[in-house]
Amino acid sequence: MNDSQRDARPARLGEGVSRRDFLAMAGLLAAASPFALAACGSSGGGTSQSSGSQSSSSQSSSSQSSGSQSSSSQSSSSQSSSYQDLTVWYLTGSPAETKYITTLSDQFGAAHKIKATVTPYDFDPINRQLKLAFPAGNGPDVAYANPDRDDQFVYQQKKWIIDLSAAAKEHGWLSRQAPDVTSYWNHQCCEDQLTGMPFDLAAVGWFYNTEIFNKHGLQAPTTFAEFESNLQALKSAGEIPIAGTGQSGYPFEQAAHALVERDKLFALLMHDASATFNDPGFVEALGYAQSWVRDKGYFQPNMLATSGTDANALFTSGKAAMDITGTWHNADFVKTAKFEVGFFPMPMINTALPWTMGGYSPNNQWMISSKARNQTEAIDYLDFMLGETAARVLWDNSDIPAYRFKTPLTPTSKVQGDAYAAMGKTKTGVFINNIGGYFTTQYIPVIQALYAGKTTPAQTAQQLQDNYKKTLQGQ
Amino acid sequence: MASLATRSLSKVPDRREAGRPGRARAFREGASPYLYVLPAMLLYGTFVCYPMLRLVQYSFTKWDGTSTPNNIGLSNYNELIRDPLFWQAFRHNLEWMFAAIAIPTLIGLALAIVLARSHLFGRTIFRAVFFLPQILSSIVIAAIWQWLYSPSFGAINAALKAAGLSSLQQGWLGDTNFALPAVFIAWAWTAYGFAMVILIAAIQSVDEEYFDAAKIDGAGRLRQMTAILLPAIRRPLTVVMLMNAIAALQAFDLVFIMTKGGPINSTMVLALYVYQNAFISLRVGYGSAIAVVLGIVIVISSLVFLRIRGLWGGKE
Repeated sequence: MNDSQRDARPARLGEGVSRRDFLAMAGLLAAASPFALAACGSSGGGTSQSSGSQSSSSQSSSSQSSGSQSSSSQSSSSQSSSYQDLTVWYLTGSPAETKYITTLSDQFGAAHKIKATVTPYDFDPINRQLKLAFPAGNGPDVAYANPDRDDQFVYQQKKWIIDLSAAAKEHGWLSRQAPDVTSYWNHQCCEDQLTGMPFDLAAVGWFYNTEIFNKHGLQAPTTFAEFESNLQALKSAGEIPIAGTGQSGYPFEQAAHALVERDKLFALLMHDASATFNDPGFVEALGYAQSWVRDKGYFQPNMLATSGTDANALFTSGKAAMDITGTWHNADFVKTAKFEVGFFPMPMINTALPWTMGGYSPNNQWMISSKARNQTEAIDYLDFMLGETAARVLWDNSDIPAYRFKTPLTPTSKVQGDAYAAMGKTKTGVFINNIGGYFTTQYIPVIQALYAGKTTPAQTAQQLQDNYKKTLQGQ
Repeated sequence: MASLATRSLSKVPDRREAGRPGRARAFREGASPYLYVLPAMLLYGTFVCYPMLRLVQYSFTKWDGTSTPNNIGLSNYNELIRDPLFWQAFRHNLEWMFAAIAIPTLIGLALAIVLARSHLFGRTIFRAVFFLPQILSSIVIAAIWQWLYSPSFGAINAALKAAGLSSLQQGWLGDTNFALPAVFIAWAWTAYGFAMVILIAAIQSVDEEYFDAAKIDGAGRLRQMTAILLPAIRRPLTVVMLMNAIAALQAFDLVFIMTKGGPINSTMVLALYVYQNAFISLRVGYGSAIAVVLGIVIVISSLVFLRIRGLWGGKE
């Protein structure tokens, strides 16, 4: 046996598997290792989506800021090299919002001789990235992110973000906003601290195409009977009454806010052990949602296959009479739709309850990292963003700032005026998927099964309750 | 002769070594290969082995990713066995794997045969065009296919309507029966290019004389394929199948972008379930347990493939 024969002879580790094969397999596995927590993080929405966002950030920033280079990669390097830089991670899904927040940051930077670099992030990537970046000490100086139980509450508990009480007192931030606005999230999170400051207000409701409504002689409804009558009229006239995505629980949540006592909704968000989805109001709300989507066909066909972006496109292209989504789309709707967009809150079904609007809350929160190397500049940045100049920019872009203007401003669009008026008339509500944990990951599949007619409202309520209990048990 | 000469020369003592003890030289000669691979092994150990070991360790804990992990023994694995969503995701991975072994491989093989053995004009351009999806990023692929599948604005439904087949229009990504195949097709669109390139190289390495001899013996094209081509390329073919199988078990990015596992978990796969648990529900321990099981599944699948490859290849 010569050398070449010896090399070719399989040295058997197991039947049919040679040592060489085994080593080859080990190599393959190493190259394509499925031990993939890290892989999930890098190849998931985070990397792909945030890298997209980051590049858009760099594009928008570089096109707008004079002389201030603001690409993400540059921000990373500058973070370590320059003390005067300020890094901001900003949660938004709106191109219009990205544009004006970048412009505002450039204005602040020019006034304070600071390079404020804004990196826009989508929802999932920012939450995941902050949880990794904050403890590692390479997070942003300032974050504008979602304040739910799995996110800001964790940041506060871990002391990754600072208490803003002293800064708020020094700069008078609390007098700039309604007390219940400032306290909305902080009350749920950490009563004795001010870990975040709201920037704008959001609500989920019904956007409508005024031209289609006028064509059919319809008005924005103020009662549930009018609401249902409008839907039936639109359906009979051959219109698609509502554009919506099957990837949200909005129809159910709208009905739930119209049927369930407000305290019971908040109790779920607060992880109250006595709170339950088996309340008859929830079952009834689930019944309405199923009936609108499935039985009465008020939504576009294939709702489960429709993304939020496509649903909005259906609406702004004039193919659907209404859209159920949040007021954070105001600016994009004004810019994109060729018709005047109106907004109305869901009329109460149980009129004995106070008028409460689903999702009506301060949108996200400004937070400052406890490891920010330039906390003074970060506080100055928040002071600027929470001030009247920034609030006017928000207002001019059809957004609704948390800032209270001394004299009410004229709405820049009908949708803004309608949403602002609705917020004045109704009480704040909740986003049910903010319950967090296991509940959040299984909320949409459970609701989708209802929409698809695979479960009854009572079964769905029980599933939601089971998942809520699992969340309370720490699953 | 040359090797004999080389061997006899190698036995001549090197003057520089003459004064050194034989044991030291033997040690140096024995150790030097390890020194060469040491840097690579250090990197491999740091970035592959160590994270793997930590992952296994975390799988025995209850951990939210930020606090101190609590050791809970085999609880995560016990829960995993009773978790219907885990099994649903596992079944989807297996379905995906079997489809991935067959479909992109067959498409790649067919294209490879055409492009390597025909006298098609512009073969190089065709190769580049067919390989193009392989080099696109997941985001781009997902965006393309989401647009194609869109129930309201999509090209597929529009084409069906234009062809008078409106009854076949579907909400492709929103129907529990179609969503997984729809995402798989998007993935297969990228995977066949890899198979095609590997198999073109394999086919081109087959000696033309075999085909000439077969023609003289009266073998038709089909017979040439089955009797000469396929046996000759069986090893690269199994490599392609193995790589597709591993990629199928790791499926994540397209599912995450296109459906997020929906509707009603009908496209949930294990890697996405790992992600949901570890990063959304903050159940890093449970997510780690799923990842460990996924890793074991991939190892077992690979061993099965290598066994099949051994049986197919016979003795060398």
